[in-house]
Amino acid sequence: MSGEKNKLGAGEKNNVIPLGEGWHGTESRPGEDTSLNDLVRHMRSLRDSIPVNQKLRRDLRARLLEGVGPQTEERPAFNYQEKRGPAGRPWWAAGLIAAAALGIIIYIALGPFGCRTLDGGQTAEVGRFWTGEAPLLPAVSPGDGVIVVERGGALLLLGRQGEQFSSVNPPPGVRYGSPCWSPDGKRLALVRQGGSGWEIISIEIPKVEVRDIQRTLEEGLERAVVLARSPAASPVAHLSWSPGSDRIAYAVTEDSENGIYLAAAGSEPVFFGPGAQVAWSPDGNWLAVEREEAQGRSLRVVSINGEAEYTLGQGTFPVWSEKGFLFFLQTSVREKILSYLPDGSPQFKVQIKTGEIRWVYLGSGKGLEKVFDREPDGIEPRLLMTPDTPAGNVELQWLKSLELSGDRTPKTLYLDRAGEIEGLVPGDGSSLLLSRRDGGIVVISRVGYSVRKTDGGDNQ
Amino acid sequence: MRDPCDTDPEKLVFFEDLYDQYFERVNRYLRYRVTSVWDADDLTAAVFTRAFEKRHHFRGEAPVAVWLFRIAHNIFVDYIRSKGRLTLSEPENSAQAAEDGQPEEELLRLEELRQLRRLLETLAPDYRDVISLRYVGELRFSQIGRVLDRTEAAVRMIHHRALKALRKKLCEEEG
Repeated sequence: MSGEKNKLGAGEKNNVIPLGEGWHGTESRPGEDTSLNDLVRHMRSLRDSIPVNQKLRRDLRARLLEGVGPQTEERPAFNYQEKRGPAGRPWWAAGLIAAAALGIIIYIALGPFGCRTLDGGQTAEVGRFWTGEAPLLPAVSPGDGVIVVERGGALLLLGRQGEQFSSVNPPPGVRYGSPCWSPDGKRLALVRQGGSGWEIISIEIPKVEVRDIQRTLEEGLERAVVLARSPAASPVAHLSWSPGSDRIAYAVTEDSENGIYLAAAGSEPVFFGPGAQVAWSPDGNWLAVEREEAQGRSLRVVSINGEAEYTLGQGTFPVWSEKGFLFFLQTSVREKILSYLPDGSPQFKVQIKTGEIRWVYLGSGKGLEKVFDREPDGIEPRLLMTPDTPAGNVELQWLKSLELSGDRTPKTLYLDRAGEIEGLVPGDGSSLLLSRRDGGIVVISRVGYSVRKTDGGDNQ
Repeated sequence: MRDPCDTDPEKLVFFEDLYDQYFERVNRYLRYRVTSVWDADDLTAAVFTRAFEKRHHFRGEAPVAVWLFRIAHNIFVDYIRSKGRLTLSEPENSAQAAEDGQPEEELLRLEELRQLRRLLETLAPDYRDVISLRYVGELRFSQIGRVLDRTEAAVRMIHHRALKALRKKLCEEEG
């Protein structure tokens, strides 16, 4: 820095008095409660713990200061004084060309050739629940007015914001589970477990009224239609209605193997194939199926007649939105180095397995073969968001214990945050509901998203 | 049209000095106030880019710290409005803090910082503004007043009340 007269503080009172000296604020009044002074000292000392991004400092400085000066000859600015285009055309001709170009860009972006992409929205906690060991998967009514979750064999009824307004309790010896609302909103399917085994029942819901929903469900349960049965040794879970609300897919565990069945009122269930969870394509002709394979859980897209099958790759909890987006959870592992040895090698580090919500655009199901044919190497899923994880405390406790023990040998802490995620289910047309275990409590969060048409330039 | 300030060596030296003197304070201030360190760094870049573009508007009527922190505070407020909620940050870059050879001690200090932020989050917005500008931005009361468009006396009063509220919460938490 040169030029003494340009120095900040020369001739003006710009300089800030360093904290801790020459201080005449309220915190140092004579006779003031000394604990306030302690707090002030504490806060000052903590300020230096906030790390500064030195790389940004260098890069931004270079960008701002090294790119200016006499060498910056021209700026691409429109000269309003001259009122002529860059090629000597009259100003209105340039304007016409610009307007035409803009029109083409807008048409490409919003018209039939536009690609669809998703933007992650806000994540808001709907509620926290104590559920014991059972997973807590919500079912959301169309229109998003009522959320039903299973807790302790009963059905808990919640409002959109998680307000808990009533519950439906089963008779003695019976448990309800795996609620699933039909897309037309007229039926709620659930699993009823009793002494004789498992039943999938369907309840008619004439109208979803928050005020009357408890009574509606209780009356519906008395007239429930049994869609399928399964012996006591073969548990049933993960119900999923078809888009037409006329068939239901469900998973049965038999001898530790998961299989998918399709059932409809008045006909025998049909075995579809191996798998644990499914999501229907909007046209009802395809199923995204989660399967347990040698390399872990992966997703397949299988035609309803079983004749075509495509692999999507690693993933769980598929959700196929009405607008053609298939959402699922994928696991990734990231490593964080907490401290280094004097020779520069890592001393203490943490490996965190996290679940990420990813998506691919598959459309309604019509012409799906072409979508996969265009991508012979597989469709690359894009990231919607990584659910917040309560990071920090475990790592800190671990470091504290190491400090107390005096152990300085290199160590790695392995954390499985992905294992805490219990499920992903459809919310309204612009959100998903994520269920996650957090220290024994299950947290349901709403993850928003919005669809955007692009000219194809978006990359994750 | 070329910006004549681009070639004004005095203005460039002025900005260079400003940048070197205030980068750390502004970056710390925004990292303290914004949940994501990535966002905080983006905002820091936005502050200095805006200051660079507007450097010829600086007339010296207010101290440069006030001018710069007004920009920083306005950018922070715009960011919070766009996010729809206010949260305080949790520094993720613990490895950086741990490079000085005493990682455990630094990490314990980070935990204390987290606790302070958490408690600060429970205070009123004007309390948070004053405390953050005072202890992270390192501004005088008069300067904070000019950043927030308040009188110095009002800032001192808010500061005192904020400290008392914070101490009360700390005492409650530590039993």
